[in-house]
Amino acid sequence: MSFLPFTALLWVTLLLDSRGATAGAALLAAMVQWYTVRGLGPFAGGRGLTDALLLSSVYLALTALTALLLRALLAERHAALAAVRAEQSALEHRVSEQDEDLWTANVSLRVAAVARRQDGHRIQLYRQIVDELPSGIAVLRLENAGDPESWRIVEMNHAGQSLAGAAGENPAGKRLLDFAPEVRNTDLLRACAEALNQNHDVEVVNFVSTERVPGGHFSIKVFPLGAPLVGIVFEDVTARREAEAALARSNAELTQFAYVASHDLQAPLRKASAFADQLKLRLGSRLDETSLDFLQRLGRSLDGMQALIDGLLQLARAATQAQPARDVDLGSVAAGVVGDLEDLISRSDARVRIEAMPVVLGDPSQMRQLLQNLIGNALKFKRRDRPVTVRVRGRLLGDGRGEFSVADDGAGFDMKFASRLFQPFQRLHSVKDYPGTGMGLAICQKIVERHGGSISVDSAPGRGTTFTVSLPGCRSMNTEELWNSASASS
Amino acid sequence: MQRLRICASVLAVAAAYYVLARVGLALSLAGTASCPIWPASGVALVAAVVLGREAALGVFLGAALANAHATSASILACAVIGAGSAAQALVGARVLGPLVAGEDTLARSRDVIRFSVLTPLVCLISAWVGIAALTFTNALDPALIPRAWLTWWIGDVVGILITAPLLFAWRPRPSDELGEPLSPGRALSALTTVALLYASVRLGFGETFRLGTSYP
Repeated sequence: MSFLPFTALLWVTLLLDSRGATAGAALLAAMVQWYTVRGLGPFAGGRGLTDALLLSSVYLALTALTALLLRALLAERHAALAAVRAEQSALEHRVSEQDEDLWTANVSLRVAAVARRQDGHRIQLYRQIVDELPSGIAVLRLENAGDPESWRIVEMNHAGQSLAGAAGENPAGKRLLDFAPEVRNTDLLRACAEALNQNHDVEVVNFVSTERVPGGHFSIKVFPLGAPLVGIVFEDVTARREAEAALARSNAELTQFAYVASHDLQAPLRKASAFADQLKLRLGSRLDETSLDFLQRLGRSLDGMQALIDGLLQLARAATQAQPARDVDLGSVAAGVVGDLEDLISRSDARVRIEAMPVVLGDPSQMRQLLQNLIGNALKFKRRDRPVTVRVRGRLLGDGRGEFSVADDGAGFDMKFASRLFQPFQRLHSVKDYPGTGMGLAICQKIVERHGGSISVDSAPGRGTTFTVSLPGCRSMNTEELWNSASASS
Repeated sequence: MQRLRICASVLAVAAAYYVLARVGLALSLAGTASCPIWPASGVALVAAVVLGREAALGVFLGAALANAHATSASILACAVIGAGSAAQALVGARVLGPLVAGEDTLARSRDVIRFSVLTPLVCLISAWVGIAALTFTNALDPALIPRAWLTWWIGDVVGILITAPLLFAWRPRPSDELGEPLSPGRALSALTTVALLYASVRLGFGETFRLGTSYP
């Protein structure tokens, strides 16, 4: 029982803070000593007061120290536990933060993966397009900037491989000159260098292969991909070139045939015409009215046929016979033509005005024929009710081209017939209204085409017609006003 | 002003020591100045920790006066006893002060163990000096020397072990101003503690339930 106070003190010490614990210990000491002084308690029996008090003091000291020690140990354990818990919660917090980071990272990774997959699909599509494209595509890299022959093939699509006669052998990684030694010193190498150095597209219109695809014609376009890369797109145009060549041959043969035919037709025609004249001379007085009329009709038909043959000959000549090209002042030519036609102009009371005209590189006689046909047509296809006014004028276009137009305010025609206009023997009007063979505009077109130009027409019934001719090789203008029949007559 | 404050603290320490010493001397070993209960040693230690050297002067005065009044020892013996007590207070302050003077008194087990080991060593000073003074002035029967020494020593040790932590724990703290001065809960727990301790002491020490008398 005497250890009961010790137990109580322990309990108090563990429950209270340091103040409560020390106060409890002091209170216990006071009470224990008081009882001991009064001769009560386990220490008092049979001893002197001093001994009893000494014993109780030792008892108290041990009690108090034990209680304090236990309390400190417990407090430390609490503190350690609290520290562990704090650390644990900090750790949990950190883990949850990291979880959140991980989740975020995971989401962005998924997003990136989806985007990458889409990119992958697109890249696959592009690859498929490049591979399946019917044109050859290749990428070249200049290995050594100082050596213009050090091109290496980086990539070539399937079509390119088969066009280059390399189906099944992937030329990627090979040197260009090893793959196709024939390109040494060709336009292709020069085009590659130009595309690389000047950063613009370069076209090689007709590259003829001699080794890889013997006799193959290629149209090649080189485009810059950023140094040291260039891209090449090429197509096999062998079939087209062959067709073109065949067409040209056939045209030449046809022209030759037309020339020969018309030339050979002239002799019998001239004979027929001569015999008709002889017949008329001999029988002239003896023939009745009807026979004479027949004879005159025969003569007119023979003349018409002569005109047709002349036209055919001219057409054939326009295609085959040409004088060497030289500078032709179209203004002077036009003035000459108008001078030749002056008789017709004054009879029909027409007005012709020639303004500034270009000087072109061409065949002088064909240029004269061209202007003669156009101005002649303008004078011929006039309205019945009033005289025609013809205006001839030209101007310079860019890049060495020039154009001139022959405009009238004559009868005009419906533009739906425009496509027939330039075909041989095609007429929009009856011969009775406007005589002619229908060869004039066909010859014009032939001449313009031979000079690398183009001819177009704009017209409306009753409002006149304008022919516009555009020609290359045009360097200057003759700005003089060369002819004005109105001022000339006044 | 400073001097006045010093004088006041010296006198206050002297007075406190004197009163507690007289209480202790009332229970002294017959024919000696050795007491089994000596709370004055704890007060002296606390005063030395809080006030420094001034406290030693107060302890010297209190101890010397109390012995002079309550025992038949000579003035010289009383002065030497006072000096011993003062020296013990100063050494104790140096050695034990850091252990008990913290914010939470003796909260660490290491401090408790050091405190319980160092306190008996510190208390050797006063016991040796005091017993020597009484012996050399012939105020102590040589036959009583061991018992007188032991009583003196244990009285000092228990005085410090019980009193010093109490006073340090109840020293005003900065954190006191934050909490409620006395909540009903704290008052109740204090009352419960007192009642519990009283009941345990009555059960353990009281005559009513002494085992020996209940069953002779």
